[in-house]
Amino acid sequence: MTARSFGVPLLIGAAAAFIATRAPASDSDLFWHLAVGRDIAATGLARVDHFSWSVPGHTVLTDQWLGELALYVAYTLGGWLGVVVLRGIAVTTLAAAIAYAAVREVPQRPLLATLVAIPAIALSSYLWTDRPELFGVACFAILIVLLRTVSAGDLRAMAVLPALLVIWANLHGSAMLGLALVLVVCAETFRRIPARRRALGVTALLAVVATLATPAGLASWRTGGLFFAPPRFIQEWSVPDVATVPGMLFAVSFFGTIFVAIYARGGLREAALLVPVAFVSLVAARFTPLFAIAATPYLAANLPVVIAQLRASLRPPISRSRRSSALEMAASLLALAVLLAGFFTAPRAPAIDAFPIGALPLLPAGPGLLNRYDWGGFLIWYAPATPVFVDGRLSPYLDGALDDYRAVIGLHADWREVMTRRGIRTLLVAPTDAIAVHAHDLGWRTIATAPNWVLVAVP
Amino acid sequence: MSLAARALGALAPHAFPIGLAAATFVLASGYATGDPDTYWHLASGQWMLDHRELLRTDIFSSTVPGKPYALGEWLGEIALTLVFNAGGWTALVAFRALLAAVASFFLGRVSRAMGAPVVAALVVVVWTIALAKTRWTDRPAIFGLVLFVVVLDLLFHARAGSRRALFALPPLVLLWANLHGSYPLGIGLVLAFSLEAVLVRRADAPRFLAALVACIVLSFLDPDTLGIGGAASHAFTPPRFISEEAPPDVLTPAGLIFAAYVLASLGFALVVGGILLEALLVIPLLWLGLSAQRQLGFFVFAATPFLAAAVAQILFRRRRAFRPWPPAAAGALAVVLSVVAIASVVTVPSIPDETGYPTGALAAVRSGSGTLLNEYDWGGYLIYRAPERKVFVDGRLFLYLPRVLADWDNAVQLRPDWREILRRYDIAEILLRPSRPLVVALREEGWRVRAEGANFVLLARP
Repeated sequence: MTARSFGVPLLIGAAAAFIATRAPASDSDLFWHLAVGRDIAATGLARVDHFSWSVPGHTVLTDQWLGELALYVAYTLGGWLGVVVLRGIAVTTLAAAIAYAAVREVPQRPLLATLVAIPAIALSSYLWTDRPELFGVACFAILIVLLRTVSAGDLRAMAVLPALLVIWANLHGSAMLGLALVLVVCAETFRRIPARRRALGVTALLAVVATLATPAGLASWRTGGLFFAPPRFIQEWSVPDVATVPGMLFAVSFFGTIFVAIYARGGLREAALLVPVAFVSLVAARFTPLFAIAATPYLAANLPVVIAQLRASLRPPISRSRRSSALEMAASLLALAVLLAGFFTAPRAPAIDAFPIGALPLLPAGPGLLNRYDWGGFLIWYAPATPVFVDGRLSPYLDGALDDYRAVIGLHADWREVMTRRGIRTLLVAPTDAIAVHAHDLGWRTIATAPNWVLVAVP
Repeated sequence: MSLAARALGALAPHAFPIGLAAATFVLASGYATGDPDTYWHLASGQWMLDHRELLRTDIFSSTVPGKPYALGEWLGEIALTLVFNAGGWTALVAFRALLAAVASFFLGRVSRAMGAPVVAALVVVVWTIALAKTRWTDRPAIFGLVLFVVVLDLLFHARAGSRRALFALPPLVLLWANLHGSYPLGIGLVLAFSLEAVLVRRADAPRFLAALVACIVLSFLDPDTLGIGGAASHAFTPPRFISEEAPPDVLTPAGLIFAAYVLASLGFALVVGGILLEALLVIPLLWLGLSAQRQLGFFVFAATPFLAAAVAQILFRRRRAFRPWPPAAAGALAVVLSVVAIASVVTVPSIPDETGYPTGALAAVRSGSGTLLNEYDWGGYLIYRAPERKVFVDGRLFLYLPRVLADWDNAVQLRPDWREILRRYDIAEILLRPSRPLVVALREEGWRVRAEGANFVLLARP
């Protein structure tokens, strides 16, 4: 690792951030994350729900508290622009880490490294949202860099790992994946490098402890349960689909890795890292970028070997970089300029046209509103006097509220019983939802409507 | 040496694939027919046998009557119908088991094509068969699965120097092109081996390329000459709302086996490497498998020989070469297993499993009148069991794309234009699952219940 390796990754990170900061804040989940962050800043960490009327007092996860606080602090400091700037910083970290992992493997071939990193960065763009999840993905990219160093027996990287996991575990629940990878890689390195066995054992132990050093404690480990029983009806939890653009990018990365492995191999060392991440990526669409990120340094390191084998004349160059420090400095300064340009030209207002803005002044205060799942976070932030029925926090609603929501909005056979039992008095749904169509047929009073929403009074 | 001992000795080299085939036969003959598409395939086959001509247009639906449709499965439908006419549902199940056994026989041979010993091949192939079991349906598609493995086996033999194997390929592709629309996969296999020959084993290239050209030319000799385009577009834009066309979910049992093959392919490639042929076969078929769960089997079949070889290299490399069974013992085991398989014919179910269908509504459906809007999955069943009524949709998917299927979905899901759709098609009755929003709405609007069960309801316009 040399200081000269940072110029190109920083430039790539800044370019990614410039692209990322073109979009205004618009993610539905951002709003409830902000509301949680605001409450943490004001009154401390809340462990029970107080945003909904369907599960009030239900235990809520606290595994993202630091990420939520960071989002709220950014919002407090810079408004919606602050949120976008924070997104830009996280994307810079993520893309630069991916690129750095590639460049470090072939420092003499920055162009090749960049080309190899592009699919992973492009695929990660589907996670460039204003949620703590983005911080988790950035941590994952850093972890990959560290794990490859750890598997070479580097003591400094082993020392840094637990610190990364402590931060990650408080930013987002995906730290459990990080812990699993740390344990697998430590076990494989333990087998291969006897001289580092004690250090690896201590690292693994500290990694476990690090993931427990959160307000959620042991509960943070239970968040992994959703991984094995994902709610498939939520798009980001759906099965990876290679007929979509992100699915194709994943396929390119996956097939490219198999192809390179057939020629260049990589041993148990690479398999220990890539095979578990491959399984995670196959589980749900939201995880597909992880494999692409993890495979990038492997591809960068071994693509020259494959090209050499295929062409039978080339050999992977072994000369070190001849680029000057001045060039590295220039690249770093250019990266800073691109980053600042992105921040200064980023949108300063959120894009909330897709949400039921016009319904806000008409919403009744207190419980009784059944809202669309996608709009829950928006309502938590913009209509705090009207508690929601469901929102993107998902886990509090898995004990029955989500089933009731689906029964009503999808007009299941028991929809009337659910309406009565829950005491639903108002509907805020899409005009194409079955309940909206049926309510119209039944002659229920439409309080207000727009092309993408309708507010209906239940008689 | 006695005649029996000589015979058993002759069987010995094939004991492994024969044993697999026998076990598969027992496994595949143990469950009843239940696939909704079986019914419309049988109805189509019977029509062709009765009229002695190909069925080129729709005769079963009320929504697209007379519309032309693909003929790519005509021979498969006739074959299934002939079997059914000869022995009813029992014969159909036994025929399916026989086809599955043939596939397993060749899979047993393929699994050792890269040099894996029997034990290593067995470790892999049992899981291949477990996954393939999900695709042993009583449809022409099963011919595609069988021919895929047969063609793969022939190609490995051709790669090892057999000219006869190469000669057998074009007629097989011709047969495949008339049995089922998956025949481009056969051509794809020949293409992969041909590419390997061109790039690596150049002396073999002319023979493989000649076989490839012959296969392509002969594949056009079917009534649906340009069907390959339709099949390809189907693979690129699968209709996701049909469960078997959805991408594989690795958290289901079948998906987990598939994932194990995917991860093993990656892991073994990283640990022991591979050859160009592996990349040419495994990567395209993995894409196909990831595109829709109905295609999982092809990837798993193709990956089997490479995984078996890798398993042998990793798990068994420290052991001395396996001592083969005495030829007589191996042959005897094959005979015993075959006898058990043949004896299992007596346990073949003689009636189909129709518990998932609206059996209780059949009488009312037959006696009803007007246009019927039915559940998509029940269309084939109704075509066969209630031929008096035309269906709204059924498993012949492409006939109904895009308009009819969109209308069906919008009506059943109670989208805003549902009344207009019911009016436009002049729907008099609906036969759907009780949980459908349309059922809930029509019940409340006073549509008359003509028949009802736990999994169906037949409503008539008041």
